[in-house]
Amino acid sequence: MIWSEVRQTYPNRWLIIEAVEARTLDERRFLDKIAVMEVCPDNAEVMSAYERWHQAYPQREFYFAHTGREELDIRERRWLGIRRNDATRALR
Amino acid sequence: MRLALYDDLPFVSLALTYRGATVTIAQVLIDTGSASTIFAARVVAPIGILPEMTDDVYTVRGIGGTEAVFTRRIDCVAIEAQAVNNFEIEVGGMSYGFDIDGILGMDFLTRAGAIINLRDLRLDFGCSAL
Repeated sequence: MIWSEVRQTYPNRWLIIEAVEARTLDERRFLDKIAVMEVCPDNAEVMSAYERWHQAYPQREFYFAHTGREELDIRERRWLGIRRNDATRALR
Repeated sequence: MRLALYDDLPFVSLALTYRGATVTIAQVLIDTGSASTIFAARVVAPIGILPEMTDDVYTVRGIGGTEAVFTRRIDCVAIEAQAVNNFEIEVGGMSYGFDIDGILGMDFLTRAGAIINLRDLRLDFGCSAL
């Protein structure tokens, strides 16, 4: 689906969505194809749900979003990330 | 403030204040490789930091995938007596498979004038409260 279709199907709801197809242009992320993963009752539940999905599938691209928003308007930031020393860890 | 090393990574504890409510957060990584500061949604939800429909949403991309975050301006981030007021944080899932509640990035560390002392394992501050 595209965002306007998602909004029509799930009006005024908090959702967990997955970016099935997406691209970055000028530090903005555009989701061309969206899958709806979960419908959440409120903004507290949507963050717990996001954490669950992100933990279960760390390589996939999920978002929390409210369908009241006309545009998703996602901006991109870069971060190197934590590198753990797994070899040291294994020795303990 | 004493730095704790877990898996060779430096952690501190700190206090966040939002709309008058304060929460203490135990496991926050000091990360000079991160431009911004991020906290796990589960540790800031108790003081009412939850996503709103109008929030700016970012995707933070790095090694190991992407993380969706919303941003929120909070009253104060404090490490012992050192407080930075009116500070913007990111809030996300932060499920990296190990125990971490937040990341203190360069935005906080520079504003607070942090001195990371790895010889004595301390985080000190070179200036008075901001």
